[in-house]
Amino acid sequence: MILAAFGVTSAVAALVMLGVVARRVTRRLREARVRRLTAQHRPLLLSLVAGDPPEAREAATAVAALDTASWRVLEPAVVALLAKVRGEGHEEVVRLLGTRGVLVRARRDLHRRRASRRAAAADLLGRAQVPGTVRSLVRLLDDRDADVRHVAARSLGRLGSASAVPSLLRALAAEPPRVPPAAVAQALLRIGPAGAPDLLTAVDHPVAVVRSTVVVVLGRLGVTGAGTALRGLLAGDPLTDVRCLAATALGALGMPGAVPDLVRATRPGSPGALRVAATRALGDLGASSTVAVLDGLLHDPDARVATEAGHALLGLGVPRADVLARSTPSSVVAVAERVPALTGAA
Amino acid sequence: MTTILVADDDADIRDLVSFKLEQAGYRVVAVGDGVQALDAVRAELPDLAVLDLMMPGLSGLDVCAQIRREPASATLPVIMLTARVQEQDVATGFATGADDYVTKPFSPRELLSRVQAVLARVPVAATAP
Repeated sequence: MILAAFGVTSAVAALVMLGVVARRVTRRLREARVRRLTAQHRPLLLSLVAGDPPEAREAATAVAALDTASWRVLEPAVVALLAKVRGEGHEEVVRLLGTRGVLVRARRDLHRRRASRRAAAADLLGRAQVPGTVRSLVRLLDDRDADVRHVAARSLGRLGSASAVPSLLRALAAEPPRVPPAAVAQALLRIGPAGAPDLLTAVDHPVAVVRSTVVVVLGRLGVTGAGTALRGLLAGDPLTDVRCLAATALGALGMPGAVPDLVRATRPGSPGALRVAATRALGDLGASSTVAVLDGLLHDPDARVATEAGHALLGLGVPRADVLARSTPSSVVAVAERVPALTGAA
Repeated sequence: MTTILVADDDADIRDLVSFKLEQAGYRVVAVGDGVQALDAVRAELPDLAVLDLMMPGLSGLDVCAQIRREPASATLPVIMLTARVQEQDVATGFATGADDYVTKPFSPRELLSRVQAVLARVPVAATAP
């Protein structure tokens, strides 16, 4: 009886082991096949993406004609190339993915149950910059899965369609935001100045994170038409953070008209963080008319302000010896700490 | 024959750049990290280096700075290839001694044009493959 039980157990164990070994062998064979096929078709893929036009077309025709099994192996490598090239090579890859039905499948996958499938599809359509997918991706900004929403925002940025701007801002305005502010900012930056009209209407949005994101993007995009709106935020936004970001954006825009507003923001009655940001912005703005103000700020009792003033003066081309000579002892130390080139020059 | 060093830890990028440059008639030495890049500079004395900014070990900026420090390679033209497109990153690249900057995703044709343009500015080195 005991011997029989032992025999059965041994047989079961042997079968399990056999199964494990068989699975491993199958997986290794599959991986070897993938490696072999990928290496075999590698020159074709390189010609497709980096070859001269006639050669690229020839490679595209050859890859398009591959049997389904070979294409399945090669598809991930082709999709990966989308993220690495632009220009003609990118266009060839997109054409090929269209020919092989990958893009149609991706559109279908946007509605799959599994979040990972929806996210992968949204990512692919964004990377391929397939026109006509904006509306589907906008819908995904309300997806139940946070990763899918994030990927949808990124893809909308890659598509570069200004029509997506209001939806991105709406996703940001939700409580909590449907998409992280940094992801929305990246998408808006990719969309570029074409989205400026919608951004400008959002500078006085009731939700602070929308205002701050819009301010950052306007500054980074260099939307000079935003000057008046940004000066309004600098002077009167209820949140100091937004005022600081407005100062930074005005500095980045480099508009001399903003100098009086920035100078006002550096005055002692303003919040400390704003004074620091405004001083830095005066330096970024790069107007020689700010030298006298910055000179005065070198003596500021707030070392952070004095440091920024020193930094700004150096940026404006004032010789470092002059900056140090005009500084108070505390700001000399602070400036020297921030600007290693000054150390030892005092 | 003009030799170009290509250093990038991404095999796809390395292969694409190498393919395009070889197709144009250049000899390419391709490596996957910064340490190998420096070794290749010393061993091969290439006519130009295309360096990825973000590589394991030594970054492209580190490699570029070292290239500039060593007398044998101090004037070697360097093109940075990178996904980092912030103004500050570009400025740092140039400050370190890079001669040009190409952002990823990149256009193989544009990269080739830039390589040709940088080589054309080099007074003594071969300007044709």
